[in-house]
Amino acid sequence: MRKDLDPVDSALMCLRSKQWTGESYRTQLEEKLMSEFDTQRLGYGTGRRRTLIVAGLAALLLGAAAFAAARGWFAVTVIDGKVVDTREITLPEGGVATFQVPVQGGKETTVTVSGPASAEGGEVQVNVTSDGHNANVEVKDVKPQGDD
Amino acid sequence: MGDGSVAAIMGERSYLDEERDLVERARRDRAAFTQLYRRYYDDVTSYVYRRLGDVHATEDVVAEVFLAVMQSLRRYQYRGIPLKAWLYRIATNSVNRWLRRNRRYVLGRPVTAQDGGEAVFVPREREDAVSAREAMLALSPKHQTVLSLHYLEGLSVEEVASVVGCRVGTVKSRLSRGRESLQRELLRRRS
Repeated sequence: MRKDLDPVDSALMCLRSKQWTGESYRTQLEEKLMSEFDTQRLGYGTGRRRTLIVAGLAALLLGAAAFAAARGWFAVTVIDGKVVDTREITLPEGGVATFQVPVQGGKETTVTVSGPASAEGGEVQVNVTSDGHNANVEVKDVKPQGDD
Repeated sequence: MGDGSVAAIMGERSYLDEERDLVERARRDRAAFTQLYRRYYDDVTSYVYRRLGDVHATEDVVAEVFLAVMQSLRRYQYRGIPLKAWLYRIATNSVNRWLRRNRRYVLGRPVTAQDGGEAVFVPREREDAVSAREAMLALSPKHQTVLSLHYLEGLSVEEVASVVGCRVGTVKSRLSRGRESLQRELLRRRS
């Protein structure tokens, strides 16, 4: 006796038997996709390069700003012909650096170095003052770090 | 996957590894993307065609699918699931979107082209096939999706769950309700 197939299963089987009989792939679509691929790659590459350039410029500007704003200097303080202190100081152009150096009797005196400091190194014009000490205080050598 | 050999495919690590490698290369190499397109064109197209039943609509949707694949490929993350499942997901979304845009679309009957164009006559199929497709198209997209993936494409319930992004229990429930809805639609058309 023939048994009728469930109408739902029959319908699904009918739909399942429907096969795509067209091309295995469409050349026209492939060309369109390749064109789109190139566009996207170009956009991605350009965007990436632009990002790198901006990042590079930003790093350069930051470096320059940091160099100008907080340039390192090397100072040797001599009191009465004797070197009492050697240190690195930060001397912004037109700025002031203040530090303590030991003097006789276990005391300290404040040395103030004010610019302008030349970025070229060599002879640097600075004004030196010290508080409460009558000894001959001078900052003998003030130059950019690394300039020997 | 579509030919019922999903379990065998999933069991083959070398196949998945090779597929993974292809995806990696297709992200930056147009030749590799071409390879990917040619490899899966037939599967994707067959699925879309079974869902829509119209050649022109299928070609439009398949183009949309592969463009979406290209745009999404950079974000694709390999999770041990065959690439085809991911492609089915994109195809499913595209088909459902197309169905929402073309609610009046009925196969086997004169269909008025969009934008006020001339009427387009879809080639007549056998009556039962037309009836089956019309009944299927009358279902909600979520029911169409699970019925198509499971019964037409041969995916297991678990694989359907991974494609549609829901639990196995939800898929089973949708399959059951989808079958009921399909039966009602078939009976309505016969009466």
